[in-house]
Amino acid sequence: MIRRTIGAALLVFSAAAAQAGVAVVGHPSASPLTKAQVEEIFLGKSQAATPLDLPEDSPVRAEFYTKATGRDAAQIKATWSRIAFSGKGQPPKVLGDAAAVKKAVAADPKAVGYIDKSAVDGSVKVLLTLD
Amino acid sequence: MHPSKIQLALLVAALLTGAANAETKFGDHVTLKGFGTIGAVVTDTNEAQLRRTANQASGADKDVDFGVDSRLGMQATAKWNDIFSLTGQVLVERSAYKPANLEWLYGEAKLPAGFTVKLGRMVLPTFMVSDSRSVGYAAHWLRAPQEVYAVYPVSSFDGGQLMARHAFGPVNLTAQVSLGSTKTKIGLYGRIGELKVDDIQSVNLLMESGDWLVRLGRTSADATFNGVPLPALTDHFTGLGVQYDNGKAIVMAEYVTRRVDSAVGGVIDSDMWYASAGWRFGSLTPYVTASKRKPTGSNASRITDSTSAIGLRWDAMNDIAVKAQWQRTKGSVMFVNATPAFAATAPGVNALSLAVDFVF
Repeated sequence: MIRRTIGAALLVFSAAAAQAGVAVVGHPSASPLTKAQVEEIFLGKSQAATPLDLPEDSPVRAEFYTKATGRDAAQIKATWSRIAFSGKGQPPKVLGDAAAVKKAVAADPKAVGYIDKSAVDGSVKVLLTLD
Repeated sequence: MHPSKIQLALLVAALLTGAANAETKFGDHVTLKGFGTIGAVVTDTNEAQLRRTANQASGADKDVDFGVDSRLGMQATAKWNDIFSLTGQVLVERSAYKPANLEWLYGEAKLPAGFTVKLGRMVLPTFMVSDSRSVGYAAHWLRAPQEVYAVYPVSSFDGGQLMARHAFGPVNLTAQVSLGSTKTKIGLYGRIGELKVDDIQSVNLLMESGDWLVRLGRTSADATFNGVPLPALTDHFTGLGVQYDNGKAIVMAEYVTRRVDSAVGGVIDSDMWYASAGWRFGSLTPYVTASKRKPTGSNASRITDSTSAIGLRWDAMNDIAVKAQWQRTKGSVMFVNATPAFAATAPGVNALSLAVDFVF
């Protein structure tokens, strides 16, 4: 009995560990995205969707940009500085946490955000998984 | 400490304090952002002074100069709704005739199907990075190559612009058509006068796909100058530019021809180009740049301008980049206050530049 419980706990724990990663999420009606499409949306090259950011100090944000674009925070800031100060657009709106991102994408079919994989629930659709 | 140095130190402190703050939002409707550079330049000659733009009447020589690259830009955007907005940008920099300039003030309407209309004062996209040339933080290099970016004194215009953006498969295409006019004070042949630029027609095409950007542009404008008697002329800039940035490697290159229709022939005809490449090692980005401006046509015997530069960008902290650049430059367009001997022979000059770029 105890062994079984420990076994189950280990199973749950290892399942959670395997889920570490970032989920790109959108409206339940949105189509899946490729990594290249996500990169274009979050680097301001495509207007196909409206990107949403997590706060600058969020580890999920750093993980997302590294995995989706191969760029660090300073490069992303430089990219959006060029776009904003040339009058071509505004950087993504920053939302406080995963709950705010889920709420925003569930309300707007064009909005795309990213959250920790473990925060995914039925209110949003996973458009791309970055492990 | 000399008073001017104390003032400079205070300015630096004030700017860095400002830089430490995030962009300021007034409610959901107004956003205020800024960018700037504090730069120092020194060269190995007192025979001429190195400048950054065509509007600078003094520059750097053997005495360290803090005015060539230092600048501060402020940009405010007021958003009425998802369609209408108003944007203004003020740029303060060393400029002989307008040290603080209202670069932009335009109203914008985002229309359906990827169309945007702008009316007012806005950037003239003569070259590939005309629109972000002053934002040091956005670029890997210390300054845009002077052989291309220090030639034309016109940076913005009054008029209208239609922009269309559309995705064709994997290619995002942006087309910009601009019409308008402007006037600006310049110095020419030792006389200060007004350069009136009318009938500006500019077409700018950007093709972006993955890590690539290709730019094609053509800008034509009529110009008259009232400082000295000169025939009216029509300027044509035609340019092809390429950018590649995969997150590690960055490459930028641009080739521009300038052809002038005028009664006196092509006295300012020239071909200009640069190529720059950098590689990111974490927060360090070393780069090299080569640039050239070659007079052509009836102007071909004039002095060719050229620069070889190596530099380093260091992303020192949030929103702040520190850069150093060494360059060897010879020619005429990037120099002012040259002695007759310097102007005649255009000897090579070594220049060292340091800059701190920031956004806030």
